Amino acid sequence: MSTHTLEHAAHGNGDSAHAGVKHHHVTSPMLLLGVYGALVFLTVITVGVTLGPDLGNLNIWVALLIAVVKAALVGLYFMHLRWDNPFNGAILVMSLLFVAIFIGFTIMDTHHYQQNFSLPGPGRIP
Amino acid sequence: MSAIPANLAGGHAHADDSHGHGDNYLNHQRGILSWLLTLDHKRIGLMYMMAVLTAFAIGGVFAILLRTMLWHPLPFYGVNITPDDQQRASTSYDLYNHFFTLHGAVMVFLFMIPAIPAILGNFVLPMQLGAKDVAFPRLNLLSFWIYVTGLVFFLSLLLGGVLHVAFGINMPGGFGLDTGWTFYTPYSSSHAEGNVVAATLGAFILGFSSILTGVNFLATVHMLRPKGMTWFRMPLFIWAVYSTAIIQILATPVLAITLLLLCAERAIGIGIFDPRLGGDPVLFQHFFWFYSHPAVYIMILPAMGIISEVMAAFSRKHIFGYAFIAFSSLSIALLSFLVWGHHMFVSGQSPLTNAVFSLITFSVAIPSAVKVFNWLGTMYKGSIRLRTPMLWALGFIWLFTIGGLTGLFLGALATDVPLTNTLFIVAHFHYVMMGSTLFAFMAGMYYWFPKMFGKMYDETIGKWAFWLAFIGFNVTFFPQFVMGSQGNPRRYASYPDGPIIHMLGRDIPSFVAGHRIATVGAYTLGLGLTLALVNWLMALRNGKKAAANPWGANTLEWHTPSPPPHDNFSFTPVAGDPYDMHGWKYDPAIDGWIEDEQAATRPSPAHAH
Amino acid sequence: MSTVESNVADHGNGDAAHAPHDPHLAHHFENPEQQYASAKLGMWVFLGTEILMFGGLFCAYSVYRHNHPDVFALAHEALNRWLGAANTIVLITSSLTMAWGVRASQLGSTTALRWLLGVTILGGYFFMGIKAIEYNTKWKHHLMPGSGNTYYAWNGQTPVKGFFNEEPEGEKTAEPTANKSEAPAVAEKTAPQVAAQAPRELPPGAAPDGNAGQPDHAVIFPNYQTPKGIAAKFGAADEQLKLDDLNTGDKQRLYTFFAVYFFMTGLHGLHVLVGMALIYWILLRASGARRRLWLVPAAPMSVGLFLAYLGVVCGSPRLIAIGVAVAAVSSLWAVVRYTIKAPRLATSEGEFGPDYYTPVDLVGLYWHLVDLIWIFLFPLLYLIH
Repeated sequence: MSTHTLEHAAHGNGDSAHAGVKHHHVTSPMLLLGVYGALVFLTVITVGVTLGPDLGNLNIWVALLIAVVKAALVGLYFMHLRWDNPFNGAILVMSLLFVAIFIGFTIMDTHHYQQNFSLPGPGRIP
Repeated sequence: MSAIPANLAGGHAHADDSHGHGDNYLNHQRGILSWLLTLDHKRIGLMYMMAVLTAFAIGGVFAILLRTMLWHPLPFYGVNITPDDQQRASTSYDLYNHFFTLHGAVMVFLFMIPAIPAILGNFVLPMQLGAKDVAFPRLNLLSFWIYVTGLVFFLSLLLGGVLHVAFGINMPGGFGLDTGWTFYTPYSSSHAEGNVVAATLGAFILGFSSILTGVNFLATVHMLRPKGMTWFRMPLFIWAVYSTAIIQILATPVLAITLLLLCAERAIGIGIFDPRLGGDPVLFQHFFWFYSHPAVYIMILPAMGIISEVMAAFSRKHIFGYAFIAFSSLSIALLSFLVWGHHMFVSGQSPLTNAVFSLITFSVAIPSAVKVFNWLGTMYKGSIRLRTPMLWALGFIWLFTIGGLTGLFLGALATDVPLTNTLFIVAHFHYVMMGSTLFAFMAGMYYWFPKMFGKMYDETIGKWAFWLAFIGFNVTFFPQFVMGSQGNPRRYASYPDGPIIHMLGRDIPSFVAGHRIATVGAYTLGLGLTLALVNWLMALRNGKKAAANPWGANTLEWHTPSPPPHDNFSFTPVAGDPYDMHGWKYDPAIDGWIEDEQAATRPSPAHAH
Repeated sequence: MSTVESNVADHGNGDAAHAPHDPHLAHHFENPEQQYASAKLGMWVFLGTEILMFGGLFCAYSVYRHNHPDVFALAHEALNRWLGAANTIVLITSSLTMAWGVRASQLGSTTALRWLLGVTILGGYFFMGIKAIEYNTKWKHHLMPGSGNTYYAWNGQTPVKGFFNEEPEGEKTAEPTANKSEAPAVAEKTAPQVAAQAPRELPPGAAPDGNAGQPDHAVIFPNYQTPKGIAAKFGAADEQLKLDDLNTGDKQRLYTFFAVYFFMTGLHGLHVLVGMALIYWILLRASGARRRLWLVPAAPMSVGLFLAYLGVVCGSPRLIAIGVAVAAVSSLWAVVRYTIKAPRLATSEGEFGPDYYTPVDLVGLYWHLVDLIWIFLFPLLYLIH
């Protein structure tokens, strides 16, 4: 919630010159198709990576990285965030940040107390 | 610039002839449907008031019943009692569990969370902003009806309890609710007799109401500020409600998914929270407190906003440290998401996590203290008028300070461990969330009552109501600090009543005196609140006409007549400094404040822009 | 947005500055731009709440995967990654058509808008169709969530509980105390017998799942037959991880994976359905009265066809019959309605155009969010290595 956003919102109000909303960004077909192609390509890649060599713990991070890139493409181009009021993007980032806080704090010590439950603890392959 | 006083004068001229017969939002349209389907934020606020106060009354009755049961301690299980007595005691224990659960759940989900944002926020926020309505009026109405639906779910629990106790009829899925308002697993998922599914669905539905209100207010504050209303000309109440909206939006969805998972766990046993099925009950506490800790700030932040308004208006002085109060609201909102683990110090969390959460918890004290000091600074050298709203606001500061300082005992790991699950906790959270929220709500109701209905209430009765409630509140809960620190557990229907009992090598004092004092206090508190309700009803019936600005405050809602017209303003409101009250002078003829022409001609910060 | 008009009618005189009123402008907004920006802000905030709601599920997922990585690695073998990938492509495609639909409405090409919305809805049906195949497989394999794969019937009081506590003494011996070294041996020995064994007697009031007693080809046995969870060797496809390597507790936790899977995909599927309904609503508004004559019956018709498809998937002739009947009746309704009323109506366009396309934009955002969540669900659930 930077001051820039606040100013932007404040300016939006006084701005009564426009009769309609026709000046909003219109995405060109080539861009839409390009993004679509990239998304399909990344889907193929992400499936391909799991079929390929076992990267161990790295695997999930590769999968998540690809997912984040795909999500960014959808957000920026299909959802118009690239041309939109930055505050809308800030909302998206904020909610992702709070999900991260939630998961981060919660997962921090779950391993510690799992042994207290009646079922035996996490299984480990020797 | 010269047009401003003319505008305002126009507004007041309208105000003068609108008393009683003029067109205002109360008589703009007639008929029950024009209320039930209204899109007017003011009417929706009033409808919320009816529903929320009903819920408050239900929760209050349970509180009184609880305290009444505690006049005599119920016999301990198996301690020198006959099987017959034991049977009877067991029934009473059950009843007690249902009572405190419904008291807590109703008060939290149906009263404290919606009270200030939904009633006063709805009524006041657009007017203070200078807007005609909230951004999404139909969403607002939907939110109200969702609230009513949630209320019906909770009423069904009550009905189930009554049917069970009186007629032995068991409703499908159990009767009543005895899990405590926290729904902790595995008790709620596998053991509780109560109708957990209905309760969680009710809370789930109420959560949606809260989310929609938050979305609405956030969009309103962002998009509907008229020309001249910059972020730092917004009254502090709006800052507070805005911060609340952020919490509602970010936290409540997690409650929704928690309750859905709990429903599924309860109904089919999916094994996410239930340890017998491989689930993790501590995870439920994480889920629950990720919402419910910020929810405490959903209750307290708007309350603080009201206090900022009332303090400035009744000290006849510009609020002290405007920007500090505004930013402390935002920082409380954000910090509230980082401290939920302090509810779980004894849940089995790792010591490292405990230490981290304890440390962050202390940082919340900073913005809270900033606010308190700023209110004191506002009063300092002000010309304080002890009218009813101001009394309630001063009561708030008293209760909030006690509640906040005892919170430090609980935030500190070493003292929390012995104090957890004692009456000390009960006393602490009643002071800090119930007492503070309730007193600020009452302050706000008394402050804006003339604006809502165009009628003045009787000051004397209002002050009586305050003193009864204030004394009653402290008498109820202060002994609980003492009893808690002596080891009386919370949620127990029984307590030692001998002179001094020697048990487990310790001397356990008698708690009879403490509990009886608390019960007397509860009745006093109930009496005070009832008196306030009577005060309002009398005012509605034959109160004096209220002036447009009975307090001399300068926020925009006081520039429009009381009660306001359908569109809030018959002129285009111009935002100045909301706390610059130099432009108003007292007019004894209408017992209110009018625009001072001389002040308008001499340069003052209000019109400098 | 039907009440918008009534607002304007009520208070149109309130604000004289904007005399020629835009029919879509509500009374409390200054101008369409402000209204559009407000609506979009509101939608984004709502999407933020959706993300946090799913965030809870992602949190549960992370905690269980973090603590029981082997369980997840093993259990996800029961999912078909090719169907998951196909669904990803379907959703991405429908996202493309939706984004293109927004473009079409911005440019005022209403015919293109209608086609694109139609294709987007079709994408939703495709997605749900593939999901149906997957769910049906899980159902046949008794992999539904719920303790003992048992659906609790309301017995007039409380759901039946304590299923695991009421096990016969004999079976209890193999429980958690079984130490790791002898667990594989026990499992291999008992596997064939348990598979052949009839379902255990259920506690009163509990109903077994619908296909109880049917021959089961699943690699994971239903909980009610084998309360310890798994008794057979699991997942021949993956040689590195074997069921026998899991300890007893983790074998039982395999069901947690399916609980998480069904909860996540189920909630997501619900969002897909809501999104389809919203797009259909937009489609109706984008069409004139004459086109609506057949578009309105098209909804029950397509639902009927989908029901028939579901009947085919799960082999239920009754469902096929119902679906076909619904589709037939609605087709008939469409034909009759169109024949009678169409001659009296001129072809007209819907209400969207360059000046007003807010609902298309907002529904588009919602649909993209559904896509976005699936983009994360797919690798997390189907592609565990």
